[in-house]
Parts: sequence; structure tokens; C-alpha cells
Amino acid sequence: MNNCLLEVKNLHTSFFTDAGEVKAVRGISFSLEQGKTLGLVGESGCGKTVTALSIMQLLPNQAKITPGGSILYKGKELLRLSQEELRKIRGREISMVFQEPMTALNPVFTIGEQIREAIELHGNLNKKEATNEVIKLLKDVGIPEPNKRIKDYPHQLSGGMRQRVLIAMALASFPSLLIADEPTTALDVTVQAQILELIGALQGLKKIAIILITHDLGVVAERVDFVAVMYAGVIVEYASTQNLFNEPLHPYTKALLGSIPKLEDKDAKLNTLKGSVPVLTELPAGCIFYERCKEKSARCKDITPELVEVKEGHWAACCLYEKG
Amino acid sequence: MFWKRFKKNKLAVIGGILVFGLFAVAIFAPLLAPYDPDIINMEQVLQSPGAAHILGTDDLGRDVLSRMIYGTRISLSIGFIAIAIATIIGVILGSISGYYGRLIDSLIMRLVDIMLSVPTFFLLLTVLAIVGPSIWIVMFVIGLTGWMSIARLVRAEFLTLKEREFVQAARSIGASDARIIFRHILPNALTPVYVSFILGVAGAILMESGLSFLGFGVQPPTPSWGNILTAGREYMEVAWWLILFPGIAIFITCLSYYILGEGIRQALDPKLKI
Repeated sequence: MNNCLLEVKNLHTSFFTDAGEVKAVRGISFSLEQGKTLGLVGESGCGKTVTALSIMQLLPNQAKITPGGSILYKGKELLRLSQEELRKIRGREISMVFQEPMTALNPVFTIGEQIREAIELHGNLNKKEATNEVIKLLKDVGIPEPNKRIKDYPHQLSGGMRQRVLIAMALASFPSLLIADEPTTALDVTVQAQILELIGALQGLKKIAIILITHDLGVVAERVDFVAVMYAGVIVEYASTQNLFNEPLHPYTKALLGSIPKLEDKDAKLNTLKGSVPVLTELPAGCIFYERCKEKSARCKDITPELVEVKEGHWAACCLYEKG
Repeated sequence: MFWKRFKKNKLAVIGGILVFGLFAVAIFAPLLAPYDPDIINMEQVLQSPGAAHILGTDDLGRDVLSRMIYGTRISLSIGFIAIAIATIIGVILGSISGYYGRLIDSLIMRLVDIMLSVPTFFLLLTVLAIVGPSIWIVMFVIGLTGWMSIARLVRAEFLTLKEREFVQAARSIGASDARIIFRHILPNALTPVYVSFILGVAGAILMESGLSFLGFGVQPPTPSWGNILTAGREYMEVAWWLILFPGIAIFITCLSYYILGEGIRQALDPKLKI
């Protein structure tokens, strides 16, 4: 696996709060090849964002990555780098687009200044060259009249425009990996489509690998090569997008796909997934999905299923597929 | 936006004009003063206000108006430099305290508590009594004992601002701590600092006047409002103008700084409807 860009192995991340240890991410592993896209799907609070922040190592103070795991980026162990070395990787190698374009830009600087900063942090361009680069980037992300817009402050732009600016900022130093944490959640549907299209187009243009975090399966279906479905801090199913949609294996994935309303039958009742995600401070023994599962059996209560390769390249963590 | 809101507050505009006027007086003192403030004229001792000397003369025949005009320079520069020192220290310590939190925060905040428990005025008197009166010492001591409230304000702003997403975004493009503190967070945290700066200047002017009145501040013959007042104290019964006018000057100056500071605070506070 030489063209492997990112390899996450057995990553555990916990928050140490007054209420006890909250195990937000509990041993997830996945890998991503150069130029490919991975969709990280799951409902709120299942550890998607924490996974992303763990890779960037931008976790809040009370969160800790449990020793024993590993995050290899281009063969380098990110968990063993110093703050200074990490700083050089952030932005230049791995960058991130955040969920809230409204708050992720600094309100007191023009967008031109902010993108230019991202360029200047890692390059050695002079001010004029950097400004030209900013204009080029803004053009790339589809902002009209970029040489006028660079003097705008964030509050003068719409949500979609701001998200474009953030994407330009993230791409400023030509990273190899872009982590997009729900980049379209805060935007309305038409703008969502535009932004996703933009990300797709830029990926083709700049040959970057993307981890797209979302709770929207529709977003995933069109844009990514592989999908990892997360539930309560673990990956329950991992497959190529096509396989996952054609033949979901894990009951959770099935339920998720079943809950998407279909245009064809208007009278059909909307399928919902009953219950809620277990509290992460007091996880039950056995399968974490037990309470809500439609295909549960007696032994699910005792066995914690491992992620196994059910078919080639299609992994699931469920007792249905456990051997023996 | 700021100007629109500020202009609606008539009192604050008056305060602003007065402060601006004081600056003009300080800058153009040589042009405005009708006499040399240091020229002693024994034939004109203790003249009451009249045509030749609008605000009268003092016990050495010096023109009170001219001395007060020159005194503006001293009073304003002490106020400004002292508070500038306090603001720089306060902003730096407050930023570091709020951004890093934990042990550093506790250490700096306990230092603030300790400093706040020291009565500034008596500390100043003690220091000046030991090293001898000097304008510079006055400025530095006022500065070194006045930074605590600014540090607290900046720290409080940092505590909320550091959790904002743009800080994380800055980190995600590889910005260093120093860059995040001073370039990304600080400009967002300055609003209360402006107000506290302006109010601080008024306090420092008042403190300087008090020290000069006690004879520890600006030394004669350099004119400052405080020492004109002191010199006039002995002749209070025969020459009321010697204490009345410097007193009014100190009063108006402080008042205009306070209403200007309050006006700026109100104009910058988005929660307040004007």
C-alpha cells in the first residue's frame, strides 16, 4: 500500500469531563489513497468531527487521544510530531473546511487578508505575488469579481460565498488532504449542491484526497469513492459507495437508507429509526446498536462485533457476519 | 456605523469636542499663551483677572492663563503615557492569561489580585519619597499599577473568543500561537480596551494633580494644573483665581474624558439601543 496517503489505525479519543470519561471515538481504523474521497457518515455525536480533529490534532484541551493508536500520514506518525512540526503540516499538507462558514472567518479582517495569510504562512511569496494568488484562488472557487471581493469583510458575503472563501483558504497551500467537516450543513439546499460540485471540481483539478464528513447520505452518494458509516464512536460499515448503496450489510446502514424519503411513493409513511444513540459515558456491553436493531438476536447482547470483511472490500461490524 | 451611533449621544459629542480642544491647546500652547509662562514680573504680582491678564497673575507675577495652557501639555502627556504603559502591560498579560488558561492563567490572575490590593496612591507617595519627585517616575508608577483592570477585561474577552471557530480555522491553516493571539483574537478583543483607556487617562490626570498638589508630582517651575493649585493655596483668601481656574480645568477635563469614554462604550455596545 505505497500510495496510501492516510492510514488511521485503532484511534481512540476520549473527553475527560466532570461526568466521567466520554469515549467519543473508540478504535476506528481506515485508510485513504492519494486523490480519493472518503465519506464519513453518521448521526450527530457519533464521533465524525472528533475523528477529523484527531487527525488535525486540534482537539480541545479536555480531549485526549489514547496511546496505542496511530495516524500515519505519508508514512509519518502524526501522533509523535511536535507542535512545531504539526503546525507545518496543518494547512500545507492537511487542511480543513469547517461546518459554520458564518463563524469560521475572522470578522475584523477582509477575506483577502485572511486567504493571503494562509498563503504566506507556508510559502515565501511577497505581498504582491500573494495577492495575485488570492485572486486566482477566489476565481477557482467561483467568486465573481475576485479583485473587488478581496476587500470585502466576511459580514458582506452570503453563507455560500463564505464557504467558498473558507475552501479557498484551505486550498491556499496546495494540501494533499482536505477534511471537509459538514461543509454544507449550514447552507440551503441549492447552495449545498453548488458547494459540493465545487469541491468535486477542485478535487479533479488539484488531485487532492478528501474526507467528507456528513450526516446526509445523499451528499455521500454522489461525491465520494468510499463510505465509512459511524455509530457511537466506531465504524460499523465500510465499503465503496456503490456497494454500500446497492447492498448495505449492517442493520444501521439499512435503517439509514430506509429512512430516506422517496419521491415515487408519496403516500408511503416515512421510515424512522427509533430510539437514540447510547450515552457515551455508560456504554452497554455487547453490540452498541442492540437497542435499536431490527435484526437482533440473543447473542448480540454479549458479543461486541468486530469489523470483518464480509465481501471483498466491504466490511461490516455485526453479529450477522461474525464467523463461528 | 460607530459614528452614527456616537453622534446621537449629544453629551458624548460635547465630551469629544472638549477632549479634542484640550489636545489642540496642548499642541498649540506657544501660539495660544499670551505670555511666557515662566516670566516673573514682580510689578504684576497677584493681579485679579482683567484685561491684561484674563485669569490674573500668581504670587510671582506670572500669567495664570499661560501657565495653565502649558500645564495642559504636562497633564495630558502624563495621563496618556501612564495609561499607554498600563494598557500595553494589561493587554499582553491578559491575552496570555486568557489564551493559555490553566496554570499561567492562575499565576497571572493571582498577580492581578495582589497588585489590586496595593493602594496605588500610597505606593506612588512612597516611591516618590524614596527616589525623589519626577514626571517619569509618576508616569511609570501609575502605568505599572494601573494595568490590572485592563488585563482582566482582555482575559475575559479571550476566554470567549478563543473558543470561536475562526480561531480553530486559523490553527487549521497552521498559524502559530503568537499569531493567533495577536493577529486573530486581539483585534476582536479591543473594544472594551478603548473605553478603559479613555477612562484611565482621566484617572491618571486626576492622580497626577493630586500628587502635584501634595508636592510629589511635577516640580515647579514647570507648570501643571496640580502645582498651580498648590502654589495658589497659600493665597486663597486674597487671590481666589489661583485655585478656581486650575480646579475647573481639572474638573472639566476629567468630566469630558468620562462622558467621552461612556459615549464610546455605548456606541460600541450592540446590545444598547440608542
